[in-house]
Amino acid sequence: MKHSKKIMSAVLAALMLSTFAACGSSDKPATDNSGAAGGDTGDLSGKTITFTMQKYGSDASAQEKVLKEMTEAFKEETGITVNYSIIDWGQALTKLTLACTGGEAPDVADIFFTPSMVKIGNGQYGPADITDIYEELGGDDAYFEAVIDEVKIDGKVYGIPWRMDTRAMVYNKAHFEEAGITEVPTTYDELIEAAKKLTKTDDSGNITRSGVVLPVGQARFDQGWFNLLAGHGTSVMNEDYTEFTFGGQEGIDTIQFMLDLINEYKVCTPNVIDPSFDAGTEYQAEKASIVLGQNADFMTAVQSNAPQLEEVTGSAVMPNLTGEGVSSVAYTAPISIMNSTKERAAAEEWLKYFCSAEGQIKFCSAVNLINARKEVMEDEFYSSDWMKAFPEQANRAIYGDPAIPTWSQIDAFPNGPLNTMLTNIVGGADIKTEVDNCLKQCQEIYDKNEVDLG
Amino acid sequence: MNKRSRRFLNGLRHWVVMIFTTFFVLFPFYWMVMTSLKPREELMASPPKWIPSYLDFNNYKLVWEQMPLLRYLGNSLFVSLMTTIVCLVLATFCGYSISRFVMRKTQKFTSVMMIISQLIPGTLPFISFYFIMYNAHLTNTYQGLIIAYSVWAIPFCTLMMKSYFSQSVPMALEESATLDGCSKFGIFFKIALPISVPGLVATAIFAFIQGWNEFMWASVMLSNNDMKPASVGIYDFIGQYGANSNVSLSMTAAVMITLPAIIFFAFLQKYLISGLSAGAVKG
Amino acid sequence: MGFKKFIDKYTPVIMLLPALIGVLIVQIYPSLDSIRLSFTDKSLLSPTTSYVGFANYITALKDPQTWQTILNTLIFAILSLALGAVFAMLVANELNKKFRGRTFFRAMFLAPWVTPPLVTSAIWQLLLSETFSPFNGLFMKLGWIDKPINFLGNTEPILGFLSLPLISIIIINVWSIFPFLMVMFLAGMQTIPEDMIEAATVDGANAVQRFFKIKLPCLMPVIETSILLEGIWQFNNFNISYLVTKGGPLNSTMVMAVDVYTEAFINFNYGSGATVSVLMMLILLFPAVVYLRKQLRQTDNI
Repeated sequence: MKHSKKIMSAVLAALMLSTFAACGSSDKPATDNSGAAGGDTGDLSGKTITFTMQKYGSDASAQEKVLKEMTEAFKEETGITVNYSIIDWGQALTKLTLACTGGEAPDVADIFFTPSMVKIGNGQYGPADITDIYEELGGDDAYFEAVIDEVKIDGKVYGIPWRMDTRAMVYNKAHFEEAGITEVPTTYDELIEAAKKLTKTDDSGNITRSGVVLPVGQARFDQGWFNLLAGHGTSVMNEDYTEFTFGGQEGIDTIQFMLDLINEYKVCTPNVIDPSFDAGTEYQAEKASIVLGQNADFMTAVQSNAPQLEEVTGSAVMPNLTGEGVSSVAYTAPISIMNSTKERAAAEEWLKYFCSAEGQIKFCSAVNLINARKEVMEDEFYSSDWMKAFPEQANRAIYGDPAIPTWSQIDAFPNGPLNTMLTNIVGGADIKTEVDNCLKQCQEIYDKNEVDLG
Repeated sequence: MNKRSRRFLNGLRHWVVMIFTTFFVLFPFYWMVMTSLKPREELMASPPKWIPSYLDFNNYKLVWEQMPLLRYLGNSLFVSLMTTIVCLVLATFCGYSISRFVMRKTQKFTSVMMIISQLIPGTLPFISFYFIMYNAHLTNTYQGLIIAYSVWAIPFCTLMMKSYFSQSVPMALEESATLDGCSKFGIFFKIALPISVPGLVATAIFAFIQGWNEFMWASVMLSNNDMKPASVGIYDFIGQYGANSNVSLSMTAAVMITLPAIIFFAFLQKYLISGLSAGAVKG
Repeated sequence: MGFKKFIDKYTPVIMLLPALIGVLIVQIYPSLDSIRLSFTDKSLLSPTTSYVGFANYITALKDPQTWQTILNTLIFAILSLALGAVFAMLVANELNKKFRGRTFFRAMFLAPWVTPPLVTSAIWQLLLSETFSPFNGLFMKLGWIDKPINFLGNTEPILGFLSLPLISIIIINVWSIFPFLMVMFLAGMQTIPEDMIEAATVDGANAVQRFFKIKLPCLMPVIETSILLEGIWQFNNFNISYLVTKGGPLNSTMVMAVDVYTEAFINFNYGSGATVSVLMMLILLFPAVVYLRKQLRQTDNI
């Protein structure tokens, strides 16, 4: 009797161990086998590389489908197998950071915060220098100006810009008709006038429908603010990214403009500060007529959440002070090859394939993303009623994220200096004090990093 | 006050508490289910309707197509089960040892270590631990998850089993067995273990729930979506800036993920409580 | 027989070794490493790291935001615990009685505990959203309020140190943790001998007296253990604050665990993240020591 229990536990242990072993071998991703033959140059067929991308588009299966098609076609052409994974945004930043500090990293990756990642990787990990591929694909001329800085650090290129996220104005055509507005506003003055006509209030004076809403989600004001800074002729930093310029007169005017929309002209609801307030859903609930900055994928959200509005939703270039010139910002994210890759040649082939004009048109049209490559944006996909405002806006946009390594800290949400400043101001604090405070903090963070560079 | 009115007040208090708690607990679930069934036109109404005009089951079809639900639930089940087994085995041995040989230095040291490990906020040791795992080639594997979850659950489970053994397994039985020449292992397997099944069950359930709910580590460790547990599954519907852009789909996913768990634990609760009352509770 | 005797002698150690080793490697070692990091200026953005002594601690403690965060964390933990425990006790007391549907209620009340944190935060964000909250709709219809309440975004301080978002996440937390406490208390109550209670009733004690004079004292060990542990866990709680409000707005729901995360993963500053971690551990040493002494003392009595 004594022995049977011992035997039982031994059997249990053995079972466990064998299950572990079985699991281990069957579920390890195929990334470990670098494939068969293939010399140093030339024949790459049989190689396997890993490719990671974040999730894009509201429909999960669209991205999955197009990646499958593209990787299969690529395999037919070159014999290289691409194992792709789609990463959700939940821990994308953590994963990326770990990948750049020596943790698990794919061969080719869709990254963001490029300057930070390059710095973190320090040459050993992180995005690799692919200036030659960039030149091969067309260099500076092939891409929109606004996005080039994100990938070029000290003159070297660390990623190929692919998706572009530029924000255009979205409006409800039916509301416009109802209010008798026939022309889409192109200047801020026109915007305020139109918004006044569109705003509806109840008996106690509370706004039930905002004429215009700032593109705020989760009480995050920075992105809407960047658009307006651009429209007022300034930006967060200067051209060389050595100074913070948002504190100048135009910067103050921008902030005042934002506040005026809420407090003075009363065309935007003061509920923007609620963490669950989302300009997009506000629009879909028909509690807003104009959203001052949305991306091209917004239409997909409208189609799924509020299909009754699909017909009447229109997009237009953002208004600014004068009606001409820069009126919005554009963000990009590059595709990079990681320094830690063991299949550099195969990775390069995939990179070139994916980032070619045809590759990009195929991918971006499947997930409704705008592209950083000028040639792609000339494709007829982007000339539809909804899309056409975006290529135009792309030409009238400046960068959204300054290309400095500490940007993620400065723009951290919700408690980084920029977002704190904006939340405080919208909540009623004095503009000048907050701006000065913020400038000081940003400068501190920036300087500290410069010093570390030694 | 007389007996009648006292009984009435007791009964009243009873039902007030029941109704309030039911509402408090269930209303979020009701809202979750209702949002997933709301027809699209009514979805964005503000203020929202409490009862939709009709039920639209379309979301369930959509989510089923977009999310490999069975796979996710299967992963959760597998990982939680294995975590429970590993944790239970290790914690039971350890708990027994501490409860029986409590005066010795090793046992005291272990107790202290178990408590200290509870103090640690999970976020920072995370990185150090990640690299330990990575260097052991355990990232992106089931084993990595199971090892992490088991060890995280061990301190609490050890303490539970220790208190269980202290309270419910009388030393007298064991002493007589020792006199008969039984080895310590023998006492453990022959005497202590069979009696402690309720405690084991209760501890197992705790360990299972720990593994089931964990998401951060799984999310970071796994790049292979095939291994994702259900607790991370809902990230599929949460967008780039953390915005919940597709409310009805994410609520549908939430229902499909949470419902099996609730039903499963509804069955287990009896064992949980009886196991706990047999002595794992007193600490 | 030498081998068998050897094994028998060392059985106690063999038994606890796997668990101990696991905990040492997975939890203790990384924490020691964190403590070490707190004395450095390690930042991912900088290729070199050097020891800076207590500089991180001084910076942290000089910053008023740190104190606010510590206060938030304490309020969050203590209030969640207090409300959760009282509520759980009430419910457990009722569930202890025999009545029709008892099993059903017991099972149902467990639901929040087994709901994944992501789901919890998604539902409650919806429930407390200014635009989409059913409560706002209801209160406005009833005429109690004239504009929707901004549960998660109102930055006005209440009573000086609370705020609506903080109260909101405390309530969400109570929703999430009370089943655990309820189960512990219920189990404890089941060990109270029936005849003791019956005797008291016969003697004329009413419900309240029965509870405070008999049930509560019997439950003391359970209460102490559960509350101490749960208190430590809630102090370290990261999920609710991060998922529902990310520590905002304006740091009103910032708890220390989220601060560690922000420092380490957004600012890439491991040194200061480690510092906050260590501060957390130091604060928790107080209840931990109490618990340890109870543990070690109690077992001496056996």
